[in-house]
Amino acid sequence: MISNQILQNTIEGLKGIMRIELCICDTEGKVLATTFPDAEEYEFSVLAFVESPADSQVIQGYQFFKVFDEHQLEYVLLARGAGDDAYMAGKVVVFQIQNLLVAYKERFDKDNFIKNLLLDNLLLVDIYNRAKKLHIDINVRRVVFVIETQTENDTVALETVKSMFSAKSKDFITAVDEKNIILVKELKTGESYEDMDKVAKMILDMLNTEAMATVHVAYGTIVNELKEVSRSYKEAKMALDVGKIFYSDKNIVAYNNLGIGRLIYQLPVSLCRMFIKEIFDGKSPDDLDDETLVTINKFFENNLNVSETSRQLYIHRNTLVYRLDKLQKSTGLDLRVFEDAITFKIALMVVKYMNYIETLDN
Amino acid sequence: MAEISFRNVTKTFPNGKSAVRDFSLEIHSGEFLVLTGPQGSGKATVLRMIAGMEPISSGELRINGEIVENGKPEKRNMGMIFQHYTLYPGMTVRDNISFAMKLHQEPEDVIRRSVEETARIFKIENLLSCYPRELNELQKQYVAMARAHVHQPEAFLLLNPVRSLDLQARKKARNRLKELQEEIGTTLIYATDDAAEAAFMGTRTVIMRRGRIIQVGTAEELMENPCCFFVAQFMNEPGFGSGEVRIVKGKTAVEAVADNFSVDVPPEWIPRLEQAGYVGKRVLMGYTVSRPSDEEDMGCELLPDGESRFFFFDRETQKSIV
Repeated sequence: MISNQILQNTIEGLKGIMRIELCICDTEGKVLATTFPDAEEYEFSVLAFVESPADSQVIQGYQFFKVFDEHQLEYVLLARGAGDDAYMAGKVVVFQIQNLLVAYKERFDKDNFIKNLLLDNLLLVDIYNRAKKLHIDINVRRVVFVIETQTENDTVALETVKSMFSAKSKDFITAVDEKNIILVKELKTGESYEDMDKVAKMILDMLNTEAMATVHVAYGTIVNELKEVSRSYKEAKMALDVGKIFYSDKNIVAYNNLGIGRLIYQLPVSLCRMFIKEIFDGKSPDDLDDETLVTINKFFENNLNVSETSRQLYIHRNTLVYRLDKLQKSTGLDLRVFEDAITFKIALMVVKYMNYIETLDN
Repeated sequence: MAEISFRNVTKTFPNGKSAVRDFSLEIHSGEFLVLTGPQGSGKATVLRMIAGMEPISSGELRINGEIVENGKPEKRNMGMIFQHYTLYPGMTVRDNISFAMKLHQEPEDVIRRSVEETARIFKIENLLSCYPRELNELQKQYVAMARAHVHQPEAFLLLNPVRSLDLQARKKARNRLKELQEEIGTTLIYATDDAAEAAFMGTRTVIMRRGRIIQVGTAEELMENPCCFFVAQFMNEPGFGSGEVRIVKGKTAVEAVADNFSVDVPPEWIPRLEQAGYVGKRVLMGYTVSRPSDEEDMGCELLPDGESRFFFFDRETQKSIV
């Protein structure tokens, strides 16, 4: 569980303080970390010691100790010397490693707990019990961010996000699949969606500039209780999806800011098909040429203002009017009329949604 | 040092919104270029396209003469500081600067040398063992710049980098940036939505609106000879006023007359207005009141007569009358 590198660093640090050679083996006698060469020679002694009922013993000029993790033998520690000094030093090292085990387990457990919480794999009573054990506050406001990277298993991006938030141990960073990094962020009192938007921007800018990674960031609503965290996670996931369909110009999407996209996203496909058939009579708006689509989008952007739109498109007013007339002939919708404009706008969005669903099916 | 060239580049997002349109610009090697324009004018997208974060939809983007393919930002080696930068809170300045290099598994001695060299350039050697919480905002900014510089980027891309600083610190940071650019001679593109900042930098400035380049020139040129109403207003804010006037030729002077006031048209404008046939017609007039001479002094007062600047534009096209 603890990496050998950490064990090595630990015993080297302790050797530096106590001037005693140390070695850690697993229960099969394999050397995991050592400060002196030829530690492998003691393999058989280690195996014999593992079998013996003693907790510590002097063998071949070394103090042998057992390191337990909740009554289960985890490691054997060797400390050079047979006197009281070696015994004391060995005891200190055993204590240190046992504490490391506890800390690591807690971190590992927390990570697991959060993953299960996000995926709704826990019973309500388990949430409260385990949260208490892991010292996680229940009634704190939290929000879930999902960060989608372009490349799978982007460790650079994950490490960057971890380092950004690591000083605050109350935020959790984990990954539940290859492309998504999840941040469960605890809010300070007084922090609002505005602050969360800043956090999202910070994540985006940092990943862009530091990890050189193109990412999309989405976040859910702020929840007041631990058990609701999975809801915030689902919302963030959905926001990511909805953003991809309707707001592809944005790198940050907030669930509470999805507007009409959120409504359309919830519609059953059969209903969408019916709607499109009704509006376009079997034809697809995808058949419209690029010029017409650009014109329509510009017209909407400029709040159905003919002169402003024609100015921005660098075309004569009459050209625009002609294009709108042509569109009216083919679809029966006059975009200069509010009712028709809104129908057309929604229809365009529905088509986008249907195209997205189709790509998922394929 | 990178030479960057855009030819008719457009960026249209899949949802039909276009962020950059018909963008053509040559950025010379070692140039300090300012990109300005209101929010949403496409500055950020231009920077992101250079960095490789945003694929271009059409046109041609060359870096050092070679057409770059979309994607692979890590291959372009651009140093970036965007507005919402942050330092890793749990790491010392040294680790902050070297973190990305460590992640990319560069050799230990290369990292150490680069960090020390960079710290020397940015004059932050004495901060290397500090944590971010021990630094003031300006020092943090220097660390962020050092972090962008440590891997010897081809060019620096900065997007509203000094926004989080107070006025005093902003000024210092910008001065340092100018010095640094001269020292290291890297191509530097500085995007800001604050015209005063663009004016301060005093180098070639590109002003954008709705994804298009409107005018290119030094900030001074943009302020004094704007090509259209938008540039005049953007570059001369705060302290820009405008209104419709009628140009009237009297016996002694040419006047710009509105309902409740009239002013003499400055002599340099008279031939222009006459030649273009605007005498007796209505035009759009813009005028400046004094710009705050220094940033600390944000108050504006009307300049004494003669120091105000006047501009005249066609009412329909909003273009400057020439």
